Amino acid sequence: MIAFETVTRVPEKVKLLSQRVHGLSKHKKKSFTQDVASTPYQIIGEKGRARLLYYASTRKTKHNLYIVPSLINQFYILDLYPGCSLIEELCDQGYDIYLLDWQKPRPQDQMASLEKHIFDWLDWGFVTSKAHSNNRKKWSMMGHCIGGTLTTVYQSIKKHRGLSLINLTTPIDFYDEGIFSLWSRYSSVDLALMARQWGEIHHDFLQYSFKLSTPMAEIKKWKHLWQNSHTESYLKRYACINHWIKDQMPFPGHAYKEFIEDFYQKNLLIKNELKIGDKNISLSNIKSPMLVLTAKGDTVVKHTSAIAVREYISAPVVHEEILGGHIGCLLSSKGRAGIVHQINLFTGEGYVQ
Amino acid sequence: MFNKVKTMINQGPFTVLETELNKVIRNQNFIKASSMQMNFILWLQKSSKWQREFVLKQMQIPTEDKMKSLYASLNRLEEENDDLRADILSLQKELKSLKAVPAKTSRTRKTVQ
Repeated sequence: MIAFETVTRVPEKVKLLSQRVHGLSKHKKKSFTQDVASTPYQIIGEKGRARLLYYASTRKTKHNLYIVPSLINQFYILDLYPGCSLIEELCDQGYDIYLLDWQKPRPQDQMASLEKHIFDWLDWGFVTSKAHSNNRKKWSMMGHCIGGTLTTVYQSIKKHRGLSLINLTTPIDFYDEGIFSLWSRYSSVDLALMARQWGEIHHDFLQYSFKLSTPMAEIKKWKHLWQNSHTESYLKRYACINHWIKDQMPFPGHAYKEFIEDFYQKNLLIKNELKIGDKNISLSNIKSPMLVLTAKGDTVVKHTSAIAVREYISAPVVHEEILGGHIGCLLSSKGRAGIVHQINLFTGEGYVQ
Repeated sequence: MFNKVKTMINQGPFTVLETELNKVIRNQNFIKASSMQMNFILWLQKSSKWQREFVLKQMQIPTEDKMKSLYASLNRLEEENDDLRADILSLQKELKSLKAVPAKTSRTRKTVQ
């Protein structure tokens, strides 16, 4: 009986196998990645390595969001393709979005410090956004990953009134059990020499670090691709993510040295001993309400690292956990829906679906 | 020991390998050895600097130090440019406000006459 069932399934399995092989043969097709970052935007201006993008709300604007992506990721992970885009969903909820696209650092940005990144480019982006919106009042600043750390530092000095903060998978306490925290604490790599020799920390180096942090992820990725290669939607998603992974940005050497030494190795931010340029950073200066979003399966930024902020700032902190991993929460529809829902609740805006 | 082997067999080679590799990359000795290796590579790159500079000079290509000073002046010029742009904007605003004032005063003068 079992043998008979197995025999009857053979044609089905052969069909699936041929579909998978066919799917694998076309997973690098360019048509899959044609509509990457396709939500329409307007370039408001450029300063240094940064440029400011404006995504108009598709409904009556209720709130303005200034988004600062991570320094090592291309911004379009937030707007991967239609139907898989956090920005698109936020625009549909009545948010006018201003996004600071860091762009790839130019050769002259090798010596750009964190001070330049935060108090020059990030600040310019926010001031320009406000001016562009005719000084509308309802503003939130949302930072993704390191972007959130930068916005937190920025607000601790600038103390903008009426501005709320949204930290999406953002590290604040850098002494956690995450792999990058361990590596930074116990490694004795000469960062000054590295910055001097390389100028900028090339994305290949950063990519290898990420790959090494989850050693079997690459094999798992190939396994999933094989199992799902007969599904067109999976192939598209895979191609777009792969395109994004390969299109990473280098980290300016000087800023990298500062970031690893001050944040990861010495954990100065939560000790209130951080100095950016000539400014002493104290998290207790932050009086704006903050929404902290952590991802359930995040292996890059640990839950404890992100929520540590509530012990240090002088304002209420709302913490919510969403589904997915560090990047997975932006890619899965449930993760994105969770983020949008929490932002709506936090800002008291948005259209209830 | 027997139980450990039994669990490993039940888990399968993939999971066992993953667990073991995760232990390795978290091991302090591994981290220290890797950073020594990195430092050695960086030191090699640093020591070969004079050869690279020699070749660049022979081919009349600007050396890294020369490039760095050029980048520094580029940054300075960019900052100056930003300052000047900000000045222009503030002057434009001032000009607009100045233009607005005489129009009002002339109208008031007329009404007075």
